[in-house]
Amino acid sequence: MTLTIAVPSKGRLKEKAVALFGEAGLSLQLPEDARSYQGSLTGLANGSSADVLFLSASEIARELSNGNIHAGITGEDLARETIADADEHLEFAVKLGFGHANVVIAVPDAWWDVNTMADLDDVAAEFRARHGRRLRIATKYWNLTQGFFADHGIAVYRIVESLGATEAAPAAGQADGIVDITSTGSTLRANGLKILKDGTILKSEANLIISRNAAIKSSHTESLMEICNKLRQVAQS
Amino acid sequence: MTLPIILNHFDTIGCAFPDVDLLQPADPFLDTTGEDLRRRIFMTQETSGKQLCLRPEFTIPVCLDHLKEGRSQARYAYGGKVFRQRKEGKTEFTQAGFEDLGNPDKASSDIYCITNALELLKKTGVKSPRLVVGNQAIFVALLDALEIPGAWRKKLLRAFGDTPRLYEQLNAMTNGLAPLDDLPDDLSSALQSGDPDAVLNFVVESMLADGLPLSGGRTPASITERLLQLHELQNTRLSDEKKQVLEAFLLLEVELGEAASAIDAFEKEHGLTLEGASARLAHLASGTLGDVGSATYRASFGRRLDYYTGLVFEIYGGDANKPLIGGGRYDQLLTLLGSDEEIPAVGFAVWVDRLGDMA
Repeated sequence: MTLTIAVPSKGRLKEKAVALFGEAGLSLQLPEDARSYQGSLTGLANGSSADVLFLSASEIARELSNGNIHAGITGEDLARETIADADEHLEFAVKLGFGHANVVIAVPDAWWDVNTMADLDDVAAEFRARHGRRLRIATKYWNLTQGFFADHGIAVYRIVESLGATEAAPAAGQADGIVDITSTGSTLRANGLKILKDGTILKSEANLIISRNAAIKSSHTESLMEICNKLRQVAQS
Repeated sequence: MTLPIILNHFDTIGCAFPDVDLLQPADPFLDTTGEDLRRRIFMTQETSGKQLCLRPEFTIPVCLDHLKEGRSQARYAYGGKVFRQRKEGKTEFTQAGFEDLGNPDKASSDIYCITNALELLKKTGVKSPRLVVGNQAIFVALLDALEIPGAWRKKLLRAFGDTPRLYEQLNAMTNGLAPLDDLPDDLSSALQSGDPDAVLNFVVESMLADGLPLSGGRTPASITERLLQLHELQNTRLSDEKKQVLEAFLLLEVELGEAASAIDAFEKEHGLTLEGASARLAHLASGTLGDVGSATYRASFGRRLDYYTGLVFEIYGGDANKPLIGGGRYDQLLTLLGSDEEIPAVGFAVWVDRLGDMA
């Protein structure tokens, strides 16, 4: 199998990734046909090339975990959300310096008595007795939420799936708090929400991720090392 | 075969066997045990979108059946496959069990539950079983005796059964809880002046400003109540002396036959009275110390599920470090499942596959 690297197929992640390869002195050929999802990467020292697949950002995490591709660029948040025990299957090799987003827990500003996860634990524990139902958290990040709440010893709450405009869920009465991504926090503030002091689940950015499950030849390793080094240099400059 | 012996035993003592489908609505399990359970069960859904799961246990369906049929008091038994997601090992195993619902004589039904479990093990050929018991109610009696403030009491009770977490909480309380900070001046001064109405008004206005519904979720009243509670505890610390008493209690582990006198001695040493504890343990010991290899009372033993309220027990066979039977009193469960009044409940589950390994 040729060395295969996946790059997000659209949006800012794609633009930034393509630009970064260029800065690193690697030449990324985009698909000639707009309907094709395959390109290639050349400019490697040993003269070899790599196949480049353009996939959706969350699909990249899954393909890496399945070992169908060797490396890929995607957000750490998506990778950790999509793949349980991500570190067993994926190596987060290079932080690429773009696509910054924090996954955070936010509750209404007016919950003046709640600033930490310990406060939220108190509120969750009594929610049923006081309000006749469990505390509800709206999110699309099921796995990250469950893991973080479990680490803080909070079990008695329910997740409400939210596929868009999560920050509006508390005002709409659909949920009590949310877990969502934010970069500056301004959308949360505009919706009357505050981030808990110890409520940052993950500080995410785009990563070059290497699959621990793909079959790797020594020539692949050499090329991957070179790609990692070059990307690292430009990402950190 | 072990399961038929067990089911036959339950039949002999006159248990009812409710039908429990393999596929169950997931909500009652997730609502009672919490969202975290989702990772440990197998979920699927109907085309209507209703979420179902493979039966992860029997107790909740049995309790729901009890409520649906509107019975006041009954003893139930069950046996069959249950399914849980686990990192390693089998995901389906055989479980059997017993539930005694609605029996107002709690002390006697606790004892009956344990002796019944021991008799069942005897019939399946387990020699010299080891019984370990705990009781959250005794910890509650200690918190009462030490006059621990309500808000702390709840935190400690939630951590009971998870000793490292309990120690963390005790340490946090001796250092003082995180201060209420970042409060707007108006709210701070309303709290300082101890004026609940002013606090309530402030909360109402800020909820309205955020466009939050004032009902259906946390209400202004419940936010206000907790603010006042935290404000009052602001400068309170758990004294080292009380912390040491709590820690000494959590280390108690004695033969069940000696437990009542150990509690007496503990009370004397610390000048406290643990209401009803000694009598409770003496009664339990007198009723259960028949055919056991050993019986231990461990003060720190509890389950971290908010519906377990009193006795908990586990029974081990031989040198095995995994229990063959786990049980306890869960008086709050039927209320969580929709009962208007508290229904006393005690029961146990048998890990039938582990019994097979023993024979």
